Formats: sequence, structure tokens, C-alpha cells
Amino acid sequence: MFQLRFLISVLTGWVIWILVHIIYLLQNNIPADIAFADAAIFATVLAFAAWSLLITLKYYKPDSRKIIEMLGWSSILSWAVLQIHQAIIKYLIPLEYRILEQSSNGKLVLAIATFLVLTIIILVNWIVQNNTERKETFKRNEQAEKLKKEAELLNLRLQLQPHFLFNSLNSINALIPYNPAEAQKMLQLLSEFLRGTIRKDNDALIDFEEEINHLQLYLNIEKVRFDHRLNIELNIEPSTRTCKIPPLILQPLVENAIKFGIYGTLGAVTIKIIGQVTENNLKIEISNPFDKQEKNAIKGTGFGLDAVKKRLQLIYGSINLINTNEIEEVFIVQLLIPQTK
Amino acid sequence: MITVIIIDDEPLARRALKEYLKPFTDIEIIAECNDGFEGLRAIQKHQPQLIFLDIQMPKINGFEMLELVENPIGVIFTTAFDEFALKAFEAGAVDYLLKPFSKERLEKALEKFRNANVMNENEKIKKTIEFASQENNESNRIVVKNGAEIKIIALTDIHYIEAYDDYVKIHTKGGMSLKKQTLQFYENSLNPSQFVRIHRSYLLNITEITKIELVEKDQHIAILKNNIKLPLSRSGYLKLKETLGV
Repeated sequence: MFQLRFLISVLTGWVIWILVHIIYLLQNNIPADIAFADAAIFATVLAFAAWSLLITLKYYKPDSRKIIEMLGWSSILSWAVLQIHQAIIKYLIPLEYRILEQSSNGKLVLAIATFLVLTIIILVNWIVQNNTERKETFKRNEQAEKLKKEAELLNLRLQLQPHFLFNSLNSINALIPYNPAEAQKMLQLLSEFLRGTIRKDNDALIDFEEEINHLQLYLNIEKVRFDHRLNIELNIEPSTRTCKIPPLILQPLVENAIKFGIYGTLGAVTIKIIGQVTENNLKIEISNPFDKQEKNAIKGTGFGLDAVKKRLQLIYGSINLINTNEIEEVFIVQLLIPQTK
Repeated sequence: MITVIIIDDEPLARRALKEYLKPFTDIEIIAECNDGFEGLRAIQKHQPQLIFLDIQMPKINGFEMLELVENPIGVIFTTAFDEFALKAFEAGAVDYLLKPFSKERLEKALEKFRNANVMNENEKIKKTIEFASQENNESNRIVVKNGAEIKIIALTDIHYIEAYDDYVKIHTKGGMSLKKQTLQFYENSLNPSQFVRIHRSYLLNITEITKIELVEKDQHIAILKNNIKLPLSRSGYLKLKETLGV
């Protein structure tokens, strides 16, 4: 497409050049056939010069700082074109019709016109090349960015804790001899949960209901593991069901809450999960108890929180979607998932 | 008869182990514990010969609990997965069971325990604990026992640690705690850019320093935020200067 357009504009330029040249010669009382031959010869020589220039520029790419050098090139080339033209018409056109040779004025005009044409060719070539290069760099950067983002998301998603997996397997192992039915149930829960974590299309948003169902699998497994030490209070408004959310956002946060609740305190632990619709957001709150006095001795916010924060930032491009809060001895994580109506 | 205590916070994990131990007629399970606190009490009360010890448990982990046990004791670690613990086990060459484990694997571990010399084993366990606290840079606390009370001290709250015979004194804003441990242990396991051995008897948290003063020729002291003055040995002074970058 670009090639064709290029060819057409070059041809057009060439024809216009010949026409202008002919008109000029006719005005100076040169017979039409001679004017045509003269113009055509000149334009052909010029075309050759332009062509060789383009070929050269394909391999040698001057940068913008070499503008003087480029101007030098086109002057030398213009001079050469004029010399070659003169050398050719010497044998073809009688002296009295070679008016350009006799008037220094005409020669200057021709030289300047040639110089301008060649300079324009250099400049246009330079601009086009620069542009494609910039476009390519941009495309490459964009692609690299996309790949990086994908890799990051993959990384953030697959942080399933091996600790959880092996402990669940151990629980199943314990259940097999005395409660095979329960062992079977747990194995099914675990399988279904794992299947959910390795689904392919991980960035397509899903219904909040689906996310909660997947979370329930996880919670049911954890309840078997920790028995009555772990209470879960789910308070999900029905209106949230069709809200959209990236898959597997909640599980790492709930895992974090359980970890800090179960390993950070003694006795029974209640994890609360609330889901509401507020304005254009799906608002989710996850809270767990923690020991205030030993806050300094428990490190940071945990991996889960950072990973989810990063993921939401990559998906929604906003950094304020996740907030943490401490009220008395309860640690609360609040999530806002933007909804498009 | 081998007296045994099982310490694991997951009821099903205890149950599985108990089932596995049933056929061993020479093993008597005298207690089951939910966490390290219960574990310590039970160990003190029953003085078992062997404990099965989980690593990740509420409040204090298995290694931290073990540090507070005073008499030598046989230990078989059990864990599902813990990166730091696994490295520590391998470095300390103690026996450990990865959950879920087989009866045969348990039998092997028991065999090893029967043939082992407890004193010898405890050296390995000490090495394991030291390695674990070096490996696990997420650990930012020290667990101590003051009488019956178990206290968890954040490293950032520590002013300095002082050698005291077989013990160390851990000085914090809230007072002083004793722990049966060597200063060398903490010098090796704590982050050297935060804790500097400034003297044969002192390991200092450098964020506590306000001033270093020259008291007489070649004799420097460090003045802490709470106005406590600690002597600096010559090499301690150089180390401190290097760490502070002055």
C-alpha cells in the first residue's frame, strides 16, 4: 500500500517536473519536440540521481545532526545532474536551443530546483524512516510491557501455598481410616478448588457469585483442618451476585486472614467476609483478629495482600482499590472493585 | 516404654499420627497439645522422652518453643511444608517427617531415635534452630520465658543484648528478659547491619545509639537513647563505625 502510494507520488512529481520544464522552454521559443526531449532527458537524469540517492539512504541512515552533510550531498548531486544533462544534450540538441547553458540565470534556476527536489527527497525519506522506527520501537515496548504484565499476573496468581496443599492432603490421610466418606468429600473439595485455581482464562472478569463459590471450597477445606478453632461469617448481599471481579482475588486475602488469625492468636478465630454494592464499586471487607501487643513481632502485611494489590493495579490501573485498617484487635482489608454499568 | 507428646495445631494431623503410633506397643502417648504454650507446659509436667513437633503453630512456632525447653529431649519434627524449616532440618541433620508421611517412614524415624544418643541429638537440634533463625529472615522476634509467662519480643524493641553466664539478658523498653542462649548465637543469627557486637559482652541494636564518646585514650563508649552507656572494645568500635558508615 505504502509502496504504491510512494510510486504514484514519485511519478506525479516526475511528470510535473517535465511539464514545468517544457512550459519554460516553450516560453523561450524553443520548438516543442526539442523542448520535450530536453525536459525528458533532464528529468530522467534527475530520476536516476534520486533513485541512487534513495538506494544509498536505505543503507546509510543519517541522523538529524547531519543536516549540513545532507545538504552537501544534494548540492554535489545537483551539480552532477546538471553536468550529465549538459553532456548528453551536447550531442542531441543544437547549440541555439540550449538556452539554459547560455543564460546563467536559467542555469541557476535549474540548479536550485534540482537541489530542492533532491533535498526534499532526503528529508521525506528521513522523516518516514524516523517515523517507522519510532512506531516499531513503540510497538516493541508495548509488546514487552504486555508480556511483562502477563508474566507478573501469572506469577501473582499461582502463589498457592504449598503449606495449605500438603496440610490438606495430610488431613485427608487422617480421615481415610475412620471417616472415609468425609475423606472423599474433602478430596473432592480440594480437587475442585485446585481446578478453579488453574483455569486458563485468568483475566476475564467473572461473576462475584462464582468467586464466592470457589472461595467456599477453600473455606470448607480450612474448616476441616482447623475444626472448631475456625469460624467463618459470610455476609454477602444478594445484589452483589452479578458484580464482576477478577478471578482468585479473594482467596489469597482470606488465606492471609486465616493465617494471621490462626497463627497469630490462641483460641477460636472468627473471619468475617462482607460483600456490598456501593455506588459504582463492589465493596468487600475481610477481617480477622490479631494480637495488638505483638504487632511489631509479626512481619508486614503478608505476601497475599501485596500480590492482590499489584494485581488490581495492573488490571484497573488504580492504586487505591485496597485499604487496610485496624480497629481494636481486628485487622480489616477493604477492597473496591470498579463496576462498569 | 517411650513416653511421647504430640504437639500440632491441626487435630487431624494429631489423629493421623496417633493412629500410626498405635501398633507400637512400647510407645505411650502421654499428652497431645494444640500449640507451643501447651506443649511447654506438658513437657515440663510430664518430662517425655520424645516429642513430635509441628513447625507452623499459633503464636510461637516449633523452633521457638524448643528454644524454651530446658532439659534435653528427643525431637522428631513434623511439617507439611516450610521452606526455612526444610533447609534447617537438612543443615542440622535431625530427623523430620514431611506430612503426609507413611507408616514405614515413621518406623524409620523411631528406629533412629531409639539408636540415638539424646545428648548428641540435642547438639544437632541446637544447630537446626540456629540455622532456622538465620534462614528465616521473616522471623523478627525472640521468644522468652519469664517464669511461667512466655513473651514475644520484637527485634525492633530490643535495645541491646548482654552476655550473662549461660544466659543472655535481653534489654528492651519494657525491661529485661533472661534467656538461656549464647551471645554468639544472636550475633550469628540476627541481621548484622542492625545488631553489632560492640564488646565481648554486648550486642547492640544500632538504631538505639545517639552518640559515641571518647572517654580516654582508645576507650570509646556508646550512649543510647535512654542514656545508658555501654563500653566499646577496640574491634567493636571499628565494627560499629563500619556498620554506621562513618
